[in-house]
Amino acid sequence: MASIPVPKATKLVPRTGLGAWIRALTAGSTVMAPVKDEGKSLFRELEPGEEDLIDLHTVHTVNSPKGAILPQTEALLTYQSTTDGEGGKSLRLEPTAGPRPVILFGVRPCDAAAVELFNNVFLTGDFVDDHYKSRRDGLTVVAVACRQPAKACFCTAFDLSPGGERGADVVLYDRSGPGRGTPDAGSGAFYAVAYTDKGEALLESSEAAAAGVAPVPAGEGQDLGRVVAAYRGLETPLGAKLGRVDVASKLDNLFESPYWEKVAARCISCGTCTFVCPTCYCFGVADCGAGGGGVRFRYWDSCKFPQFMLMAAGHNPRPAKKARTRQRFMHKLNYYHHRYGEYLCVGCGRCVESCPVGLHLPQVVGEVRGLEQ
Amino acid sequence: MPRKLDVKTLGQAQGALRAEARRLLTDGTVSVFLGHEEGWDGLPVAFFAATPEEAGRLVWNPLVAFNLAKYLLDRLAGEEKVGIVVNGCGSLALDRILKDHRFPRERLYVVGIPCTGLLDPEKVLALPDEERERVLEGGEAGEDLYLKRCGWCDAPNPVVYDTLIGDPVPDEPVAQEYPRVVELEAMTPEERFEHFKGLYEKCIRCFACRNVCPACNCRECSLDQWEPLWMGRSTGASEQLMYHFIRAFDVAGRCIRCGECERVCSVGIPLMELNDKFLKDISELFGVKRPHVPADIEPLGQFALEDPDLEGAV
Repeated sequence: MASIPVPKATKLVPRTGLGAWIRALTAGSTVMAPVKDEGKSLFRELEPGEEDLIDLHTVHTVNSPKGAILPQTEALLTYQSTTDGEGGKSLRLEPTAGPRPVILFGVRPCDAAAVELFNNVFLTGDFVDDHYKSRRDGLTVVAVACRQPAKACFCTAFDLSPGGERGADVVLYDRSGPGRGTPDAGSGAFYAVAYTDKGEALLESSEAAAAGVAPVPAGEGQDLGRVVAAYRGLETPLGAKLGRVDVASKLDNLFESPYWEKVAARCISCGTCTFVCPTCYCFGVADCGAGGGGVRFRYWDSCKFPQFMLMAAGHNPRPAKKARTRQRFMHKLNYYHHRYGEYLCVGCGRCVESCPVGLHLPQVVGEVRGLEQ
Repeated sequence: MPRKLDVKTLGQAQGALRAEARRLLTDGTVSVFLGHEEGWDGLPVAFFAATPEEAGRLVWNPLVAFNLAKYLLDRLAGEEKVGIVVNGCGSLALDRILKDHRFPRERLYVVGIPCTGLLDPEKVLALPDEERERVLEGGEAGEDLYLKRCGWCDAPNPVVYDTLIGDPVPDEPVAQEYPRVVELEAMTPEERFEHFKGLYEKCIRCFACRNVCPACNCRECSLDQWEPLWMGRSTGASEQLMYHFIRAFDVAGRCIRCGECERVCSVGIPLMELNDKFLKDISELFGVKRPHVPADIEPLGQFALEDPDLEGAV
């Protein structure tokens, strides 16, 4: 396991001060947080005055927070073609306005780690994606450690933990430590641990102090260490069942396995798994316009859609469900691993919870282990 | 009204289902049998038994909520004969696909099982272990645990089958009511627009509602086409409304009121509101008492020169 970075700052945030702190954060940034919406917990932009709707109890929001760095629809540029007096044509391209800084408040450690996996794709190698970069640069992540992982959680199968700091600037650890139920909203406090300069700045700001974010009382340092360690040591229900994921090299030889036919049969080719997934990043690009002008934008695409690879001339390299299903799992468990040395999955469990037909990654990992080479 | 779960009969039905599927796979009547098996968390998932041995994995219990008929479209190519198990609403889904001429009846062997009610898998899974056991093994389920569609179900017995397992259950008429539509109709057009805009704003356009729907069985969906581009790929309000309105209009007159669209929606959009509006309209405008039940003559499904309403229309 990677070594734990030394905290840059530690504070105590009283539960009763959370609302005021978040209100203060909203002044300079867009705050996105888990919000209760008709019985579902959704990750979305917080409107002014909605601080009390924040849901830090539900482990998973239905959607992941990835929209903060890769919006489902994102304008890339505007275009306008014009004709001059002599019949000459010109095309003017304008970049879109830069995004407002975003604070992701109350993300789970798995979702915070997922942001780092996006960085591999969009920021490393020969090409840096400017649109992604400007969003990433303006992003601050305040994670909240999981008191009780959900039944479908398996972050521990990827060397992550319910108290991990990967991808987070600040992690909030409920002072009462891991356990069942929700601590009384009126009492209690979080230990806030900053792991980056950005996180430190957030905790040391005068707005934070005004909202009641205070130094950890003298003599409580040992408790803090114990509580944080308890979160980091938590096991996840599905992670315990699954064990450490270890199938990358085995999959090298299974591209042609009849197994994919079998697992694909159940898929209904919807994009639920890919769209709720915090690590799926595939997108398409399209134009929307009329009269020679318009917007070029990108949008989430899904390898589960039959049109995903359809080419302009009509050829579709992945015409069958088998190939499309295989693509999703090979991408996460093999191709990405070859390129970046880790899996493209953080074990959040959303595919487990949301797939309408019960087809998901942990199941595939388990079944792949049992396949003959 | 929710049916009363009959755990004993369900257990017997599971045994009989396995035996019947085994027989069909053994004597070559079918080369594959569509049913359910137990998934990792105990919930049933779709299963395609291809050998007599595999028939032993089939399950039948109050959680088999998922309509299997849509999977037939995957098997359209080829000549193989396919077995499938259906309960009441599952048979409506199957009949929808048959009435839409999307799968040949002669390539099907249908095993029907009368239904004593289905439970919402998500709600059952969320129960504490002991309570879940009481529900699944004792059959003690509160009304709120049943699938919404059981509340208005008037077709507990399969309408299409070759073999029926067990005795038909009492088939009482149920008045089809659409309380949510009454609320919608009471709104001003502006309020309604805001209402739908608010609902569909949440949509992540995963197409689960479309892909699970037995009435959404077109060979190619217009919403997938690039040319012409009926629906843009962005998720702005106009595209979201376009998606949901097109879909509702497309299934109007063919919706079987199974509510699967709503059940599989991960963000919880009450998608049946619009479908119910169309069902209510069909019921009131054409006097159809059970507008969700596929029929040989359907108000929006046929064109006939002798149509009495045609006079003066052309």
